[in-house]
Amino acid sequence: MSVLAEIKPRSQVLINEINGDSFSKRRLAQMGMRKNKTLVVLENVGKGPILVEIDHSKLVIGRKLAEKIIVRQVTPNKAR
Amino acid sequence: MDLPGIYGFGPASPEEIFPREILVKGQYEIIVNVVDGTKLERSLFLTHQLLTLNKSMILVVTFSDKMTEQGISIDIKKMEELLGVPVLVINSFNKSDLTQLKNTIFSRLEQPRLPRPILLPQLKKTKVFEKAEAEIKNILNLHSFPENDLAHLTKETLAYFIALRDDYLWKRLSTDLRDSIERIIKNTEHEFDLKNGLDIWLIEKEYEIIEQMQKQVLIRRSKAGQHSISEKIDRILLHPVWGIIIFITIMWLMFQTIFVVSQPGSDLLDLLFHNLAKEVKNTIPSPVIASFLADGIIDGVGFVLIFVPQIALLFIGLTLMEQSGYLARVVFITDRFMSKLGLSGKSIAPLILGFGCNVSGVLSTKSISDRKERITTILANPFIPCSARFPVFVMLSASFFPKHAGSILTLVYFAGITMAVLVSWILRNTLTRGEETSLLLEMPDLSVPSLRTIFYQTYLYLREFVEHAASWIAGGVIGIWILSVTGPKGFLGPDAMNDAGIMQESWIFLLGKLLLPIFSPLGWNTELVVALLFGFVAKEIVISTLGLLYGIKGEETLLGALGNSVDPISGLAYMFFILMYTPCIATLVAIKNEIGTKWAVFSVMIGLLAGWLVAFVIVYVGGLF
Repeated sequence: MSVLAEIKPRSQVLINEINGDSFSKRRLAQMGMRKNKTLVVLENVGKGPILVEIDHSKLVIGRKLAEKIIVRQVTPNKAR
Repeated sequence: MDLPGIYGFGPASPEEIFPREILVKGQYEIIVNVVDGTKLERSLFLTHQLLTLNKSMILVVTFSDKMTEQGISIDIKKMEELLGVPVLVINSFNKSDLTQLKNTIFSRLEQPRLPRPILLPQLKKTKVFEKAEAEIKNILNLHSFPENDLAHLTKETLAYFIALRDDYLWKRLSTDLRDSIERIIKNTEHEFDLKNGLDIWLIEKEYEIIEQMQKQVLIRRSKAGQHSISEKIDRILLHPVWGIIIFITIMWLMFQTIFVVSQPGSDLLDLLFHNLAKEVKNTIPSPVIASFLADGIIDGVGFVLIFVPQIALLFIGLTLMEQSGYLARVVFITDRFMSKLGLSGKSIAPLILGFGCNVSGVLSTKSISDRKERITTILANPFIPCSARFPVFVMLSASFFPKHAGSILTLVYFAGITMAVLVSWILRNTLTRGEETSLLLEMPDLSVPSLRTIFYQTYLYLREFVEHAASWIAGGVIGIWILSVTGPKGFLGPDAMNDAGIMQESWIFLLGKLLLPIFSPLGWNTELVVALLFGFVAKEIVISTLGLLYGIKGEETLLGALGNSVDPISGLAYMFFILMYTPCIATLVAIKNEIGTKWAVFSVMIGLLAGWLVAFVIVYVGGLF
């Protein structure tokens, strides 16, 4: 298990748990982020936000929030 | 009615409450639910919730062209059958598609048919919702809620939205009722061990239902290994180094274009109003009425209108950035810098726009959902030196520092940015301190927006600007005119506007004298203080006022006169004060409309305070040498 903020780009992960403040948790849920859902990390550089793809939509998640999302890596560095 | 976007019902950011109130109150015939066909999973979420409102609906699936491109197809028949509403797949650029949409709307209006909501019956099959719903319904009945304007909603739907913690509905509940419902929710969560809460459980269940439905209606032939053009461009736009370079270049190009293109338009309007005023003075026999019309009304209205070309271009630029999806990229690449200030990437666009005009800067904060972050961004905005202050700084730096005008000008701009940053940081650590805002937004695919969308959006922005600001700027100029042509001795005559000797007798000059003690430690004279009073209306009036007060026409001589009467250090302090002292009337009105009178007053206070303190420090430190 690791947090979403630590996942390298082009990896596929499975969401295990979402923590954080209640407003963000609900907003994430509305956007389809939920337990056992897979998503692909597209961009993750330095201290910037993380870009993920979920349900064919792209989502920008601030780093602070991404540190509260616990995930399990499915495929490491999926080839381009 | 075109409602702003919402994701679903539940807790809202400020701009989302209004559309929900409209939807829940049900004072409409039909819901035209427009969804993005390439992101159907997401769109069906809101669709299901809207269906529980029991209103006639048409589901319009757009971007049929992109769907074909991406290998997406929908079983329309099946979808209509499942949802009980007509489903239209269209390309919004295609005229015949739009005609078909129009016809469908009209035929539905003639024969309204209720949809077949599948969400609630499905949810009711679960023990969790069955129990929570029954108990909430009971307690609502006991308190005879809802009132008349919500009576058309079924108790089931109400219980569902309340369980989702919809902000609008919760606002309508009495304290007693809220407490009871809170207890029901707590008990349900405890009994069924819902760790994330009932509302999140409901959202997740809805997604499960959507997933099942999708399997029946949606076919995606994924083209693996292929990247769309949008994704290829994003490699560069989102790059931590190249992205920033491109961003700065685009902004620079935008301002250059705005400056070059709008100048002739502004000059032309200026000339037009100038001649109109002259004409009025020549034709109307009564000098009082003539002066009121020419110096008061025409000047006042003209002052607003000469900004229109500039602001129109700014808004075209902003709309282009927004509609193409580029703004979301900017948010992405600047977030890491903004988060150091306690803000998020969403605050960057308003601050940038502030260089053009603080009014547009303030108006563009609408996209920031966190109220405290929004207040901070708005209050920092007036410190960004807008284009109206530019001529003032050029003029003053040339008169006080003939040899180093360019460097001084750069210094002032740099100081403005520093102040905006400093003010944001201080506010975020004091008055607007709050939970660190976590950035969360959807990144749309890059696309070329249609001209019609851009012009329509720009027109809406412009209309808002003219309506809100115009009356106040015009009012302000008229007010200043009245204070200039009247004094303790009564009416001074319209010549006061052209004769510094007469103006000395006016209220405005008296006010300047009254305020002088506050500013004399900074080494300023009455003329400079009076010019500040005028500058409150709009900063660029400072120059023309100084010219008037020194009884000089023409810039060349004003340079000399100013340089002779005020020492350079006091002059520099004066420039910094103008940079900060208060937002102009138009900006102030925008602030009041966006976040309320209290914050607008506060904005004036911090401006005056910061301006005076910085000016004082400059004079004090300058005096040491």
